[in-house]
Amino acid sequence: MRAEWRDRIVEVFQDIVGKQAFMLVECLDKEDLPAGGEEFRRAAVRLRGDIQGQLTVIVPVEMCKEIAANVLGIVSKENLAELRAEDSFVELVNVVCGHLATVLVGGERRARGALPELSTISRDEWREAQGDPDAIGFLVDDFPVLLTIAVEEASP
Amino acid sequence: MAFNILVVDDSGTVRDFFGKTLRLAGIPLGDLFQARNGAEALAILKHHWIDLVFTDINMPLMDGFELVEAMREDDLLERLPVVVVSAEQDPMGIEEMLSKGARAYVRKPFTPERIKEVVEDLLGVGHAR
Repeated sequence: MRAEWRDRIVEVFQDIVGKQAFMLVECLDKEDLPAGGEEFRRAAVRLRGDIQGQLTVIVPVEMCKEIAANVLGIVSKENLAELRAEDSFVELVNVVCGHLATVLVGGERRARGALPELSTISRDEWREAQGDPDAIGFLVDDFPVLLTIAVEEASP
Repeated sequence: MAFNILVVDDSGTVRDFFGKTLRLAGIPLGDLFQARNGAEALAILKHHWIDLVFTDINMPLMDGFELVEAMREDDLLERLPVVVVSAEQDPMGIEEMLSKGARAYVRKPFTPERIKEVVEDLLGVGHAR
């Protein structure tokens, strides 16, 4: 990842999560992140256009319900929060990706995210993702979050 | 007087949030219709009176570009105002949507104030059913 991109990515993630999910975001050293349970949701978005690559965000399963509850103005124990949990997380990643694509390409160039792909990963897979040198760690309210973006300039 | 509004987005959360936002914005809401993609939206538009459409761009089956194009080719729908709601800020993409007939663009995440501004600008009070 380009060094100058890191600060922009952190800024965009903090801004969008704050505005859309009403959650406090702190950028933390990945090694200092608290344990996040045994199961995690992973949303991956492929970027196409003048830059190509993939944005990946991994969060604990429980955080998805909190996102839904915050967006919809309900409590996380309500059925609707459970029903909308994964969708709320995917939509949040989608919006983060849209803003990041704008920031990273700049000027007149274009990049667009594909529809996000959602999967479930284990704690071992989380640890593996934590070891990725491009992964950025965040504490979102009390939840550990990993964001990885691997992009390159598209061939002319 | 109340407006019938159609929200087109593949995210159920966004569709639910729209309902909440429209009420918070104080917009007189008649029926709030929801569609998960452009094809579902066209089916609703064929059978119901709609005053305003909010549509996402990136959706499966039929995206926002295709929906706006299809509406512009339909004599009964071509003048119905469409607002594009997306996280994208690609100037050429937005210009393309506006050239195809969309009337406004709202960037996600949006506020009730921004939605109110757009609804008032496009509908005013004289167009309510």
